[in-house]
Amino acid sequence: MLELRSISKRFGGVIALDNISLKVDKELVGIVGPNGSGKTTLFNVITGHVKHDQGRLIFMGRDISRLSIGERVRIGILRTFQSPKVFWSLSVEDNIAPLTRNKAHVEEVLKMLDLWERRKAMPTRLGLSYVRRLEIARCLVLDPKLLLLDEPLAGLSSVEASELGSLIEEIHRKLGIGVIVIEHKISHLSSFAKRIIAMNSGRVVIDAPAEDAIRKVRDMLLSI
Amino acid sequence: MIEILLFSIITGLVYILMATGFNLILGVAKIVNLAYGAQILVTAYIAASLLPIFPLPIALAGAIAASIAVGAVIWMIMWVFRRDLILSIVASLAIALLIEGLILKIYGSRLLSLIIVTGEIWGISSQWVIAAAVSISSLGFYYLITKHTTLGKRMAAVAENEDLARYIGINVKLIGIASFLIASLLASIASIAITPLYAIYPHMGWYYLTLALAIVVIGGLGSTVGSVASSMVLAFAQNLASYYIGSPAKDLVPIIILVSTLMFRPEGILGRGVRWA
Amino acid sequence: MREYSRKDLVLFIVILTLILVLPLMTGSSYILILALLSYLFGVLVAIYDLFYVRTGYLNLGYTYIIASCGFAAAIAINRSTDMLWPLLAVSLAIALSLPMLIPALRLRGPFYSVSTLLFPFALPPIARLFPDVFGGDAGLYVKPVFEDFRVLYYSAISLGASVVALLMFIASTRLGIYFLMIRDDETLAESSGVRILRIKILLFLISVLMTVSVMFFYIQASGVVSVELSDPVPILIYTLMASAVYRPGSSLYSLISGIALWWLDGLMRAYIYDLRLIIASTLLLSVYLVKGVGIGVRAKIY
Repeated sequence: MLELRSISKRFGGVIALDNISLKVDKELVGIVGPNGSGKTTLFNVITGHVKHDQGRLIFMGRDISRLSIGERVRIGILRTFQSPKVFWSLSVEDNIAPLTRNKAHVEEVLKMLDLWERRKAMPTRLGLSYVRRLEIARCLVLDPKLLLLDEPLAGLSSVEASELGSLIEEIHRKLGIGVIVIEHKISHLSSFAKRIIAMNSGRVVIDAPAEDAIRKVRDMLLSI
Repeated sequence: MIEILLFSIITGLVYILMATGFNLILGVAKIVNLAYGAQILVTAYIAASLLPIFPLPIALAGAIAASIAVGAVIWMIMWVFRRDLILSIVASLAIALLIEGLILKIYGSRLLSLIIVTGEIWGISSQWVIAAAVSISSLGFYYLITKHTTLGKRMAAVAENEDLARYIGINVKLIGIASFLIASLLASIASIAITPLYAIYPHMGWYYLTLALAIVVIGGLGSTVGSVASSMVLAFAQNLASYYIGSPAKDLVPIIILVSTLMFRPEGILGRGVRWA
Repeated sequence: MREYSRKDLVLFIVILTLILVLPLMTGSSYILILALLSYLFGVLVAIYDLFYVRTGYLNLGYTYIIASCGFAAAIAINRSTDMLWPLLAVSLAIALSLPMLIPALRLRGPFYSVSTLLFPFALPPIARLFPDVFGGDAGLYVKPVFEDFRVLYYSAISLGASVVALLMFIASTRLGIYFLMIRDDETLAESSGVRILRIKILLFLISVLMTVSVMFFYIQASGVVSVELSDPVPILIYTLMASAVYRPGSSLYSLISGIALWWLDGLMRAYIYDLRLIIASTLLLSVYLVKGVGIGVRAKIY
């Protein structure tokens, strides 16, 4: 579904992405890596927030390099951001409802993310866990084919993180869409990701099924 | 023709001075100070009132001190609002209008002229020479401060990344005040350099404000060199337009260049990155 | 119409009734003209509030659009010999205002606002360069279109009411919420599929169309149009103040505040002319200080 061919990006003297090639289908993939490894830049390139310098970006068979952010949203690439981003002055319901004409769909999405009871509340009154759910809800209501979640579990307690993790897996399973999750802690991903990619200094260093990947990462850390 | 060239260079230098002050507040304190033109206004009027009474150095010093004091007051009000962009814009606008209103009340609306020096030096009007000399030396001092003092380095740090600067122990609020006061100083010096060349009147704050704004936007955000370039471009374009078309054309130059720049090169002459989002 | 309570609609009807019966209460055409002008100013404020404050694209040069629309209407009325003059007025208004769309497409936030501030100051030089078209510093005399003042009065009131009703309607639609989304976080709005470019162009066209229709009546009532209309001082102060009363239902409250402030300005001009600017700017600062305290910290930073 999504294919990156030799994608590179530099910011001034810093190489953010170094000749990245990978393919993602309708799977649940996790991405880990230290700060500065290029994870968020990877997302930015896929969604169009940043233009890659070299390489080709293929989605559903077509090269989307020239598409604007809005156009990519309309073909089904949706994302959340590292710091919580919602429309703070609008209620939970109003954050989402205006984005689609399908009222039933809005209700369905809110219920799926346990936000239906809170739909009249203002996001400032929600705990972080529910703000994160709101972010995901916004993506879901736009019928994503590929969902990019940037550190959705960061800052949550272990219980909240585990709940949200299960929810993400459920979304992937029920909707049959591709989901890529960036996380800082590999332990967050181990419970639901089927495949894990590890990045470092703009390169992909590990790309394997979850269990193998976790073993390799552990070996890497122990060998330092 | 030589006169136009010379005048353009001198005006350009004063513009650079003005833009530098504005950019300083913008970069370090992250405040859009719409009362900047009013500060230029205050300096001119105070100088005009003090000159008949006091000797030149004292009168000028008084005018500059007044401008810095006004800057301090503006800063105090603006610091409260800096988290909300709309509020800070409106607040600085309100302050600018208040100052204009006070000047209008105290001095009336007739045109005044501010004469600092008369006569000629080497065949050029002395005021021009003073304007050039004062601009160059102020910019020189400013360059020394920013590149070679601790204050300068701290200001650069705060401008670059405020949270990080605070984290490493820099008193961001103090640096903010310092930048505001230095900017006020630059504005008042620019005022003394340029306002004697034209008549002064209460509404003129807007002329200098819009000029400073145009210079900054055209030159590109985050680029001091860009502001230098756009200052010069504007100064030359204005003087040429004034000479060949007429005085009203001069006032249209900034906005025509602004709109053209936005259409064809939105990041400015030498700007980098995305416009403020 | 989720944003408007029954109370607000009742208020609207009350005000409208008051304005409609005014000609029956007084024969003085002077008072009626003032009432009409203040009402139309209120409508302009309501337009400003929806399109240029609610979207977060704080336009500090709206007076440029006001004046351009005024001149467009005047030129169309004065020079046109056929019934197509409304079309001419609208085309001219859009053509003159078009440069103001450019900053909206290229800049955001404070840099958008400061760029718009330059526009009003461009109109006086333009008028001086083309005195035949714009009437120079003195301005243009406007040919009267209505023979009966009462016809002018009631048509103007109807148009104003329609505009305000339309504004209230837009605010309650999806488009109205898109405005709030753009104001809150344009990047997020863009990433949520909101068609930012289309909205900005639509916003521009609707606001110019509404402004030119209001200005048509405004210049008929005042009889003249000059570059003085483009001076941000004091009109900008009043539009900003009036729209500071923002809350759901704001178009209506903008209208009322606009009318009130117009009268306040008139009183100040008559009795304390030299303190006018001082009082107006202090009021503006106070209103926004109070509003600022009220807003507090809107978004929790995690």
